[in-house]
Amino acid sequence: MKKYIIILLISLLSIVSYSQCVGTQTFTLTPAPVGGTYNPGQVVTLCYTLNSYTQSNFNYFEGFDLNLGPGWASVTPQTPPTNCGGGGGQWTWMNSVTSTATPITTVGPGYFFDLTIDGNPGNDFGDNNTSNCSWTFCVQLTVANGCTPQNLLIQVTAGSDGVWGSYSSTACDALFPNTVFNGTINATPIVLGSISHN
Amino acid sequence: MKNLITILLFLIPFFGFSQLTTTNPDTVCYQTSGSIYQVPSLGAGYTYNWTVTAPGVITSGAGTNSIGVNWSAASPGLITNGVSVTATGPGGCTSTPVTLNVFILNVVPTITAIGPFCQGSPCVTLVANPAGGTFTGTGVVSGQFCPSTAGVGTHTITYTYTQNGCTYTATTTVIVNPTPVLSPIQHN
Repeated sequence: MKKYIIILLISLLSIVSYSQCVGTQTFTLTPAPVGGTYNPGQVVTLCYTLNSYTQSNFNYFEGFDLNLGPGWASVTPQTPPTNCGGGGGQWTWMNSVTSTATPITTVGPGYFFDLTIDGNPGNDFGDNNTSNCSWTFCVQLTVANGCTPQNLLIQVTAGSDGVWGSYSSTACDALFPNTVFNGTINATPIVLGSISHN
Repeated sequence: MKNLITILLFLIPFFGFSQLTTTNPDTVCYQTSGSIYQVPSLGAGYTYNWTVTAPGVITSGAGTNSIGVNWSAASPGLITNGVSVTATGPGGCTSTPVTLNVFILNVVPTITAIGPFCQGSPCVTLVANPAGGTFTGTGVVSGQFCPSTAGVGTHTITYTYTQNGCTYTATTTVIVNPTPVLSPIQHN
C-alpha cells in the first residue's frame, strides 16, 4: 500500500508543463529512490507520458530523447509509445538519431517516430497528433556497479519533427529537458561488524 | 518517576545492549578442529570472503557470514591476523577487512612426583604446575594423597587444569607398599 502511495505521490509531483508545443508530462520511477539514491546494480523502471502536444505550424511530435548520468550502466527499452497518427510509421528505440532539419542535431538514446520505417527517424516527419493523443513509453535503467556516488541524472526531452526530423518549420524548436531524477548511486560504505568466535 | 528513569539510565550499560564480541587475540585451544567464526549478517545479496592463516583450514561456510575452521595443525602461539573477512555487496562494493588475531593456547601441566609410600604413611599434599587445577584418583582427598585411603598398590593420579576454556591433564603413578608385618618375637 505504502509503495503505491509513494508512486502516486511521485506521479502527482512530477507533472510538468512547458510552453510552445509540448504539453504536460508525467512519469513514474519504480521502485522509488531512497534518500535521493539507488543502490549499485539496482534496476529501475521509468514510465514517461507526454499528455498533450500542440502541433504549432504542423510540427508533428518526433520523439523522446533521454539524457542519462554516468551512474546508469544501461538503458533497455521496454514499451514504445503508441502510433497516434495511425497513418503509417512506427515508434522505434534508437541509440542515436541525426536530424535532416537544420540545424542538424544528433540526439538519443530514446524513442523516435520513424514515418517511413527506414530505420532513420531523422529523415521524415513525426507522429501526427490527429486525436488529442498522449504518448507513453517505458524503459528499464540499471544502476552501475560502483562504489562511488556517480550521478544518476534522468532527463527526458520531447521534440518535434521540426528539430529532430525533416520538417522545415521552427515553430516547435524550443526544447525543454524535463529532469525526472537527479540523484546519485548509494555509495554508503559497507561496514562489517567484528568477528565473534563460538 | 524521575528517579526510576535515572535508575534505568544507570542500568542500560549493563543489560542487553552489549554486542557479542570476541577478545582480540582470540584464544583457541591447542589441536582444536571445530572453531566457528562469524560476523553479523548484512542481509541478502552479500558475500563474505574469509581468509584463514595456514595451517588453519576453512572446513565449512565459505562465502557466508559464518565459517568453521580447523586449527588442529597449528602450533601453539600467536597467529597475527589469523582470521580475516571482507563483505561484498550486491553492487560489487567491498568492505574494509575485519581481522582477528588468534592465539593457540597450549599448557602442559606437570605433577611433582611423590612416593613410594608405606600403607600407613600420612597424607601428602599434591603439587602441580601450574597451580589452580584439581587432582582426582584413588586416595586423593582434598588435594592430598592419603596412602591409607588408597591402599596397597599402584595408583594413578590425574591433574586437570583449565585456562581460557581449554582443559589440560597430567597423570602420575604412586606406589603404596604394604607395611611389613613381623611375627611375634620368639624366645628359644
